[in-house]
Amino acid sequence: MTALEAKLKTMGLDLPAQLAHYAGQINSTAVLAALVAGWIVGWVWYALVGDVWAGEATTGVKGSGFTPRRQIFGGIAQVIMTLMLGSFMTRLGYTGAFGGIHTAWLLWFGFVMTTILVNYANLGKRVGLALIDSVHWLLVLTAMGAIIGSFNQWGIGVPVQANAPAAAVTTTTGG
Amino acid sequence: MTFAGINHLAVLIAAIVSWIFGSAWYGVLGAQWAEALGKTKEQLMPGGRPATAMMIVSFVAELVMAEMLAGLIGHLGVGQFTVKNAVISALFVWFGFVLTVLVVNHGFQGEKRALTLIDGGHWLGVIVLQALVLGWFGV
Repeated sequence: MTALEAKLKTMGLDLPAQLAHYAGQINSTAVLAALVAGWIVGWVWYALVGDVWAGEATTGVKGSGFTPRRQIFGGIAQVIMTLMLGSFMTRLGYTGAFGGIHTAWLLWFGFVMTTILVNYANLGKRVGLALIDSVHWLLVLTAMGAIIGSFNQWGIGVPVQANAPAAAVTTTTGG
Repeated sequence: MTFAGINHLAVLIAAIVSWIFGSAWYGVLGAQWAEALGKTKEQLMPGGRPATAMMIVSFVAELVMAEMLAGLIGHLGVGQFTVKNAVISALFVWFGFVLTVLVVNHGFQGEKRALTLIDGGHWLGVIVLQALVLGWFGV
C-alpha cells in the first residue's frame, strides 16, 4: 500500500475499496443500452435542428461540427453521465423508469441547464443555441434515466459484485 | 433513508459566495478568457464588467445549483450532512454533469480547449465553494 493510500484511508477515503464497490454496482448492460439510446436521441435531435444549430454555433466560432474524435468524446461523456445518474438515482431512492426520469430532470435542472445558461449568456451566444444544446441534454438524460430505471426494475444485467465487502460499504459515504 | 433537510439560509450564502468567486475568477482570467474566444476583454465586458442582466442570470443559476446540491447532500441521510460528504458530492456532480456537458458542447462548437479549462475551472470552484458553505452550516 502506498503512503498516499494509507493517508487517504486515515481520512476515511479508502479509494480502492470505494472504486471496487462502485464497479461492483455497475450494470454494464444498462450502461451500454443507455449509451446507445443517448447517442440515438442526440443523433435524431441534431438531425432535426442541425441547420439551426450550425447557423447559431458558427456565429463567431470556427471549426464547429461533427467529427469522429468529437463523437468518441461525446460517448465517453455519456458513459460517465450514465454512471453518475445511476449513482444519484440510488441515493435519492428513486426506482423504475419514472424514478430514473425524475432523477435525470432534477440533475438537468440543477446543473446542466444552469451551466449552459450562464456560460452561453456570458459568451454572448444566441438563445437558440442554448435552447438546442440544453434540450439535447434533457432528452439524452431522460432516455438514460428511463433505461437505467427500467433495467434495475427488470433485473436485467448481472452486477459484477452484488454485495461489496462491509469495509468498503462503510467508507462509501459520499457520491 | 431519511432526508436530512435543507438549510435555506446556507443555500443563499453559498450562492452569494460562489457568485463573488465567479466575479473574481473572470476578473482575474478575463484576458485569457477573451483570448480563448478570439475576442477582446472590452468586447465581452464593456466598461470592465459584465452586463447587469448576465450577473443576475449567474446569481439565479447559482442559487438553483446550491439548492439542488443541498438536496442531493440531504439525501445522504440524517447526520451525513458534513463538509467532507458535501465536497465529495459536489465533485461527483461537477465531473458527471458539468464537465461532461462543457467538454462535449465546446468540442462540437469548435471552441478552444482553454475556454473549457477556464469555464470548467470556474464551475469547479463554484460547486466546491457551495459544498464547503453548505457542509459548514449543516442543516
